[in-house]
Amino acid sequence: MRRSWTTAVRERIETELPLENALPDRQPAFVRSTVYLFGVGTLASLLTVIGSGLVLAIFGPGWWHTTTVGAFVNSVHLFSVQLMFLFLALHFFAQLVMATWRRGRGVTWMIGAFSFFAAIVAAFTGYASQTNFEAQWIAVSAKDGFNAIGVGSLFNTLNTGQMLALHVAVLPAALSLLVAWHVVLVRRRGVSPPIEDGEEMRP
Amino acid sequence: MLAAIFDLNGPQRFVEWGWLRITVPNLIVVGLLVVAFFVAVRTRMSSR
Repeated sequence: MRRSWTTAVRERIETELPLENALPDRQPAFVRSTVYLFGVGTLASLLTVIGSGLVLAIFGPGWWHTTTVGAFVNSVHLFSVQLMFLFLALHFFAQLVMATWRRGRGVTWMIGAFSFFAAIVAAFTGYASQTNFEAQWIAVSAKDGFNAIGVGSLFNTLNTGQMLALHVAVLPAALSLLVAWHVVLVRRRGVSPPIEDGEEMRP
Repeated sequence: MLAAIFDLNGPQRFVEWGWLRITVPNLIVVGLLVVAFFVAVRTRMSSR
């Protein structure tokens, strides 16, 4: 009898990511270092960004520009982004000096790098979607750069609809998938252990 | 209240050192990041 794809997916998950690895209740002693909190700090900030962004998307620019509650949620969105990038910078630097691409974690590192790139593009489209004079200034300044590299007709920063759609739909979906993939890979391989004497730095 | 302490009206102030040119707020943030990194490396979470 042919195996169904659901069976194949279930067996693959059971082999690659057993529940003990996916939701562990114990970690190695070295994970007690506070430096391991930067990753979860980035995740917590991202969740705040998405939550506040959903509220902004529901009520719209007329609300976030004119009401005090709207301005507050707008500020929560902005400052959680700032925090996310601060934690991300620390997380990235900590993983760099710990060479955490070792022992088969190269793909985890690459997915993290792609997430970083997606987060940067998401932030830039967010600046262009504020619907204020700053957004106009940024979009007008940025268009010359994109025209210069020949992608102006595809990615038009002066097209507020395109910037907003990318910012609230395409990029959050891409970023969420990449971050979820990154976390699954971390859980699959476990937290990268400290570097041993004489250990090679290869992936 | 912070706006009353830090006057945010006016042009940016820069720190210039050779080829390096950075705004004061960005320099403060970079400094805080460096401090946070070394504090995190030196501290341990309590074990349960």
